Amino acid sequence: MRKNRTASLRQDAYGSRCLKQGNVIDRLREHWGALYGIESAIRVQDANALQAAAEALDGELIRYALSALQTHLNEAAIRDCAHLIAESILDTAASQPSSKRWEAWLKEAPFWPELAKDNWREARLQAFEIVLAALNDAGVTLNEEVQPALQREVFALQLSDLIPAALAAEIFPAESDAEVCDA
Amino acid sequence: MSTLNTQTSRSKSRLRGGAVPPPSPALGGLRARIAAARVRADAIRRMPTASESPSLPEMPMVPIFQTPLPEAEALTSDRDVTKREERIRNLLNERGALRLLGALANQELVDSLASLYGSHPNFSAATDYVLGEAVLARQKGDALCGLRILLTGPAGVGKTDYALRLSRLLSLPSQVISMSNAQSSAAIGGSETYWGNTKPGLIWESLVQGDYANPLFVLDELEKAATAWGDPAGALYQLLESQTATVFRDKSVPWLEVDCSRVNWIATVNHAELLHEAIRSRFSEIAVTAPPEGQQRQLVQRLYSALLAEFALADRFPAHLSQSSENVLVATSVREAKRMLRAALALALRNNTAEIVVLAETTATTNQRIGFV
Repeated sequence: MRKNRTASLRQDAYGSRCLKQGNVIDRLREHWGALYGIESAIRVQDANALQAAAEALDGELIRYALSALQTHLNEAAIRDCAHLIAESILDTAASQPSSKRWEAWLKEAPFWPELAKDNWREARLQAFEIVLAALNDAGVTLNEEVQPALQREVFALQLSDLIPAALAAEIFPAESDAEVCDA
Repeated sequence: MSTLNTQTSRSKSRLRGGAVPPPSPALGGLRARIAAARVRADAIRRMPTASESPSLPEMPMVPIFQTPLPEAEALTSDRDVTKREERIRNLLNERGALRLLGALANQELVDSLASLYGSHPNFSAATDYVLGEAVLARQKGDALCGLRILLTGPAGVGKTDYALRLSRLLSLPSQVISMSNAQSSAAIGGSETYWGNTKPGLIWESLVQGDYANPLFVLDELEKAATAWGDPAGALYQLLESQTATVFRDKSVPWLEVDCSRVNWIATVNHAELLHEAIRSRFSEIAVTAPPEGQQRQLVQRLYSALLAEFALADRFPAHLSQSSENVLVATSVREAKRMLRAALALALRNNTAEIVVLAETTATTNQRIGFV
């Protein structure tokens, strides 16, 4: 059985060597304490306390935590963008609610546009699978010609194809449309 | 005060001044491809059996309206009107502009159409015309589109039956519009938008909500359309002319031009001279008479066989109708012959006889006096 990071068996994502040393739960608690110690030492300008607190930190564990956060953010961006791309493709409403959803998502925080840009290729791959599943659920079978053509067109989509030009200029002011999400 | 100030905050349409831009070419193309796949899937689902149209997955598709959709003219504050327009736009976006082109003119179609010579021998002129059009379409690699046939002839010769048989052979969706019941052109061309119950006509519905760009409509008893309250045939002046049919606007959806030029039309009349000359000249008029005696006898035998097959009685009664019964039926119209055969069958079943006998006095319309003994 192939384990998938987004599936129920998430343990596989946490098999790093640094987590297997000692009791990682206790170590995490210790790090929370160390961070508070550092902040306190800085406030009172206590160099000795600062050094003691810093020495309690495990750089490997911290690096792993940062890496995990980055991975989660990227995965969230891929998942969200894939759904938004699929929504845009399947959006037949006259009021085009999908474009409003894009705007809300891109403006949620400054880093989301950059994550979208960095993960655009993977997002398109997943979006195609979502579209295919939605069409299958609706009883629409794509023949041998249509499915590859649809795949090519989805893989060629840029973010600028999915959001109004004014929003694209606002989100990516320094870049041309062609460079927005060219993977 | 501007009309826009009366809009509610829930209004999502262009009336608030925020026009929804059309999708990018890439996104528009994707959506069109998916909509076309939906239409094709719907057509396959609507076919009773796959064998009805084995070529359906390969049928070409043609656009029936232009995309992106035209901008609406926001001249009304009526919420019902804007909601209705939004529903129509959602439908158009979902279905897309592409529709299937049925009745591809290949050798298979030509061969099946030739069977009409046998089933409807007195319609050979009409069959010649249809086959001629099929051959021309085949030369272009096209489908049978834009047929405009006016069948004129006395009552009961089988005009409507021929039209329906033709639609089955073409495997096209078809509708019979009884013009003798029509009181206005709304059934065909839609009703005006100022009516609260405004509704598109049959042509618009068939093309936009259906799957084919070239469905077939039978205008039955066209000359009997009542004109006391309007002209039921009014929309036909535009629909029966290929150039104007290309940009047809239904009265209920006047902002959208729909290409109706591929629609096939068969009209039936008893008295063509009662038609307005402008309508009459738009058709290829073909006179139909009762079949000659020899063909009539063959037809009667076929009607007899069909009746036995309909009621699964082929094993109970003789395979051929008797000469005497045949003599009675050849003197009547096809419609009357069907009625008399049916009545004779009912009598044979009631009396438990081994043969169906048609007598000259046997009719299905015998009046019985109702009263006290």
